[in-house]
Amino acid sequence: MKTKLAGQTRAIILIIKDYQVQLMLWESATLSMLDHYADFQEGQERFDQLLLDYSDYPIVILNDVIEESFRNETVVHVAATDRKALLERKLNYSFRNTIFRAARITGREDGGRRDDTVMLSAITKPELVNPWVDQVLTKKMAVQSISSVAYLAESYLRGSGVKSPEHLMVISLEEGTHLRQTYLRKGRVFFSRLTTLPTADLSALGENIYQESLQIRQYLERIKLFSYESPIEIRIFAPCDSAELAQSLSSSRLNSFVCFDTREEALSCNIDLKGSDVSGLYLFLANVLQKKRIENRYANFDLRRYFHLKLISQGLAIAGSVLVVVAMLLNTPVLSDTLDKRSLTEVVESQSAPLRAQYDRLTQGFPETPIDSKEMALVVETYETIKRQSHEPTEAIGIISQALEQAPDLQIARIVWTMQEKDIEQDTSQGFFGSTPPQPVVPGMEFTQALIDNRSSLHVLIDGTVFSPDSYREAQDQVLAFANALNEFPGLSVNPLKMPTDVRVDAQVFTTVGDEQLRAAYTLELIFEEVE
Amino acid sequence: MKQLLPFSNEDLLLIKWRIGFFVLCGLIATGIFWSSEYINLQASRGLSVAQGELYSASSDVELIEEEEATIIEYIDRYQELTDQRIVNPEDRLLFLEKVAQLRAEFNLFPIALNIDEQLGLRLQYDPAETEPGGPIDLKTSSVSIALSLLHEEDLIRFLGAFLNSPGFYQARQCELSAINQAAQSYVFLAQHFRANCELLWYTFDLSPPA
Repeated sequence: MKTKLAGQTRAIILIIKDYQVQLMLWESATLSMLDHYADFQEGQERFDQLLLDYSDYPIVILNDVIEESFRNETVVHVAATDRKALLERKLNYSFRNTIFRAARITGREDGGRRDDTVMLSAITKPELVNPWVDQVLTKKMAVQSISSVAYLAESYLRGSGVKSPEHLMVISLEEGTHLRQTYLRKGRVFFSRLTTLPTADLSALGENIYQESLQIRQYLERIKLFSYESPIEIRIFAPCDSAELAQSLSSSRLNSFVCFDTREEALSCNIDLKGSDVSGLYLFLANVLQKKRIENRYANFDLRRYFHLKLISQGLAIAGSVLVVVAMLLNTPVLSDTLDKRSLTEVVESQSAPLRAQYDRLTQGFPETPIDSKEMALVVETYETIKRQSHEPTEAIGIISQALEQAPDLQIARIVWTMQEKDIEQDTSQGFFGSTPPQPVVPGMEFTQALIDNRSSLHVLIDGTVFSPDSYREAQDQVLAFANALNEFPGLSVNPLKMPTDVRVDAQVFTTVGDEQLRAAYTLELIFEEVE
Repeated sequence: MKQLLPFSNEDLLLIKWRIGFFVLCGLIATGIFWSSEYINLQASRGLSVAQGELYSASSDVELIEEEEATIIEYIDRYQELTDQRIVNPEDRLLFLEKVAQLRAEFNLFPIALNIDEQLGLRLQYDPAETEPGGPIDLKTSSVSIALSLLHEEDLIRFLGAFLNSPGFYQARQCELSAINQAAQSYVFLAQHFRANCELLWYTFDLSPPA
C-alpha cells in the first residue's frame, strides 16, 4: 500500500447498500466501478477472486443502509480517563447486538448538571457487513476503515473548504429514489437516514425532497436537536439539473435550499461508473479520497489488525531506510575527516620519501668510525677539559725564579705545588631549582670529578728564610719585594702567610734584638686565579 | 504473562520480512557508524604512522648530519688519543719502562714509585642528549714519585719529559724541598733536594661493566 502525504493513493472500496453491493477501485486518482453484486451469495466467488487480484490494496467499507442508527443522548461529564469506558458502556447498552458502533462527545448541555451530549451510531444489522469483512480477513488483507455515507458527507464538507452553517442538511439522491438525508451541526454528523421516494419522476422530485426535508426537520425539532426557530441550510446533491430542481423548492427564513448537480460537480473528479450518473455518494467519495484517507468509524482494532500491521510494516521499511540514510548523513563529517586524513597521509608520505632517500645517501657515504660519535665526542671533550686544567710545576718554578731576582738574599726551603678542587658554587638566589645538582662522587675521585666540572685551582706554598745583618726592615722589605714581584704576574695573587716580623698592631711581637745576624722564616701562598 | 503487543505471533509473522529489513537496516546503520569510525581510526593511525615516519626520517637525517659533523669535528683528535694509547687499558710495565728510561736519560738518583689501585668514574652525557652513546669510564691511577735531586732542574727536566710523553698524565701535587739548607755550595755532587710528586694517570674504558 502506498500513501501520499495527504490523500489516498489506492484502495478497494466496498459500498454496501440495501439492494446492492458495489465494488469500487481508487487508483491513480480515479474512482472506477469494478463490480457489483446483489448480495453476498452472488458475489462471494467474484469478490474472492478480486481480492486475490488486489491483495495489496487496503479495503474501505462504506455503508449506505437503512440499518444505520443514530442516537443523541446525554451522559454525566466525567474525566477523560473515564470517558472511554463510559461511552463503551453506553454503546453496549444502546447497540448490544453489533460490533460496528461508534460514539463521540458532541458538546455539553448549557444548564443543569452540564452533562456531556453524545452521539451514538451503529450498523444495527451487522450481518450486512460481516460476510464481507470475514472474507477480507480470511485473505489477511487490510481493512482500513468501516464507515458510512453520513460520515463520508461530513468528511466531504470538512474538506471542501466552505464554511458550513451551524445547521446543515445534506441530501443526496441515489439510484433515482433513494434519498440519504444527513443532519450536521457545526460540520459534525448528528443524524442520518435513508428514505425511499415513492417515484423517480423528476417532475415530482423537488416536491418529494421538499416534503421529506420538512418531515425530518420536524423530527429533529421534536427530538430537540435544534429549535423551531433555528434556520437550516439544505444542500441537495442530485444527478439532475439543479436549476430545474430548485424551482420546486421554495426557500424560507427557516429553510434555505441549495441544489448541486452532481454530474457537473463530478467533472473535476475522475469517476468512471460505466455509464451511470454520478450521485452524491461517489462525488463525496472521490473528493475525500483525493484529499485524505477515509476515516474509520465502526471497525474495532481486531478487524483492522492487518491494516495496522501494514502500517507497522510500512513504518518499519521507512524507519529502516531513514535509519540508513541518517546514519550515512551523520557519518558524512567522519567520512570527510577520513578523506582529509588520507590526503594528508599521502602528502606526509610524499614528504618522507625524499628524506629517506637522503638518509640512505648519507648512510652510504658515512665515514667509518671506531666508536659511536657521541662516545667519541665525550672522550675528546673530557680529555680536553682535563688537559686545559693541567699544569706543570715547571711553570710555577720559572715564575718563582724570575721573582726571586728582586730579592736575591732570600732562601727557599720548600715549594709545595698543588692542584686543588674548588667547592661547588651554590646559587642561593634561585632556590633549589637554580642550584646545580651535585654529581655523585666516587670515593677517591673527587679531584677528577672537580676537573671534569672545571673546578680546579692551582696553589703554591713557598717556605723560606731571609737573612739580614742588622735591619729588621731590610729583611721585611726583601720578602715584600719578592711578593710584589710575584704579584706582577697576571692571574697570580700572593698571600703572605708568615712574614719575618709580624708588624700588625693587633698581634704580639716577640724577638731578641742582639748582635747576631737577623734570620727569619717566611711563608707565602701563591694562588693562580685564572688557570687557563 | 500478559501479551505486550496487540498482535498474535501469527500476525507478526506476516511482517517478518519487514522486521528483518528493519533489523538489517539497523545493522547496516550500526555498521556504517562502526565501519566509518573504524576507517577513520585507521586513517588516524595511518596519518600518525606517516607523521611518525616523517619525523623519524627527518630526525634520522638530522641525526646523521649531526653525527657526521661530530665525527668530522672529533675524529682527528680522537685518533691522537688512540695513538697515545689513552683509550687503551693501563700498561704499567710500559709505564715503569718509561720512568726507568727517563731516569737513565737524565742521570737521576733512584726514583721511588707507588701506583695506587685504579679507580673509575662513569662519564655523564649532556642531560639534553636524547640519544646518548654507550657508557664510558674515566679510569684514574694515582702515581706517587719520590726522588732525590742534585739540582731542582733535575725535577723540571724529568717532569717535563714525563708529562709530555705519550699518555694522559697530570701533576696533582709536587713538593720540592731542600735537604741541607745550610750548604751553600752545589759543587759537591750530593742529594741537595728532595722531590715528592703525585701524578694522575688517566685512561678511558670504552667498554666498562654495566
